Amino acid sequence: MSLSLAIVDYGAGNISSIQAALGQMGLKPSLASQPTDLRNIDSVILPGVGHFGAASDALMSSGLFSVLRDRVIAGMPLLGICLGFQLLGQTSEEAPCAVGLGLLPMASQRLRPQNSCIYKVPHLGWNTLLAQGSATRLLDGITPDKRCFYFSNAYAVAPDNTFLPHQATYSHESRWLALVEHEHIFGVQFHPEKSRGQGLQLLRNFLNLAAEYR
Amino acid sequence: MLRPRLIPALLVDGQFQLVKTTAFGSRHYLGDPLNAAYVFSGFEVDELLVLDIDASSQGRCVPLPFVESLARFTSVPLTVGGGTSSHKEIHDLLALGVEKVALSTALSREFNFLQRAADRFGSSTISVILNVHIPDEGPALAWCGRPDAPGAGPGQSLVKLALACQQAGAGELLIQAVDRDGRRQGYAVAALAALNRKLAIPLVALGGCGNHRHIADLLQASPFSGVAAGSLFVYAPDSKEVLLNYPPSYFWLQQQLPHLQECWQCA
Repeated sequence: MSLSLAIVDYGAGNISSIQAALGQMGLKPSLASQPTDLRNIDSVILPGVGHFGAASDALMSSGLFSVLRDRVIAGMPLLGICLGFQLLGQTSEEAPCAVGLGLLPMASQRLRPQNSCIYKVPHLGWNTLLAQGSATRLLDGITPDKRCFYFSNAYAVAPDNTFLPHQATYSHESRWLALVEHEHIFGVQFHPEKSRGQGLQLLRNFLNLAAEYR
Repeated sequence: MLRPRLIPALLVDGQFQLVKTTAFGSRHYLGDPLNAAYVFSGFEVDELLVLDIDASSQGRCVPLPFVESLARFTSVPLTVGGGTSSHKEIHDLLALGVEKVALSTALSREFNFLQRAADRFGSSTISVILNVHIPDEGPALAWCGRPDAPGAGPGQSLVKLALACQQAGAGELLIQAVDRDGRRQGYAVAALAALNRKLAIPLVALGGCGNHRHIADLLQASPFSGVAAGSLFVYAPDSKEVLLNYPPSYFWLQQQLPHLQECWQCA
């Protein structure tokens, strides 16, 4: 039986681009906008564009927040993308009163480069992955010269030794987390759905990994 | 580190024709915009900018069915603009799979719309286009919307207006040099570089690019976040024969990057 995949739809995601990217692989993921939509689902993608606080509120008010959290803690594979990646953490400087899903020990902070002539905020465009851990399964089959992805973020997560060797970073004056893996929980700060063939490969890798965890 | 984005700028008129303008005036018909977008997506462009240049004067937003097709025919990051003046329009465009919505004319009527849009949708999704006149002497003047639109006014100081956009939450500024549009004589390097030094948000230059030398001149002067061009990517070199192209420029820039990055670190 094939994987049943849902994209979490809480009104703050670039959902159609992810659908289009998965469509290229012949997949038609369902959309989960309320807890019951997750009932027969065995893996999820958590997208996100916009404000951490608004996204956290939207997840709460739809009832998805706790159900999603419980299911993932119970072992359901998840890929968080961009703001969806930041929501896997505990908090964000963008909305100090809002809570993240708390699935990973991390917090987002505003990018504040010293040299604002070279390093602009938002961090917008194609950046190369650095310091890739030895065990980053999401990057399987992506050659080093293709490990360049499209980013669009004003907030970021600092790398943490907790995640070594399951993380990759990017540089925007200092180092930030681009990708993290913790067992069945995956997160990427960039947009694989808009990152050429290497982005599609990453999504394919997630689906294969999710099938293993099922 | 981030590489400067190399961005084809496609202009679409009220009849959904792909055109190339000169100095915002005369229009040269190029073909079908969706086909062109499909070709550029196949080239894996860093980003694609698509502007409906008749939307504002006709009092409408860039049509959603067109943008829906655009998103369907492409898989590259998209910035779309044209007549957008409400939260609902921005929401609908983003929902179709557009990364950034470009605002311009709406801000000439109500500048506060920028801050509300950035608060609601996040700065990363809101791009602002400023159209500028850069005289040989004296300060550059900037407009939201067309400088020749009814009631457009005498223009404001580019630096002041750009800083106001940054303050209001614009995620990126696209500076379009009106007089240089379609002339292929080079970017307004000095004014743009001076502006880039003052801004903390990404800046994209548009208007005047005819060849790689022009891009080199621009990027040696300052690390722009994006370099946009129309003519360069839609015409054969030094001619007006339609020839959609991108890979040679991409690989050329790739080769220049180590040298450029040295220039920026030392500056």
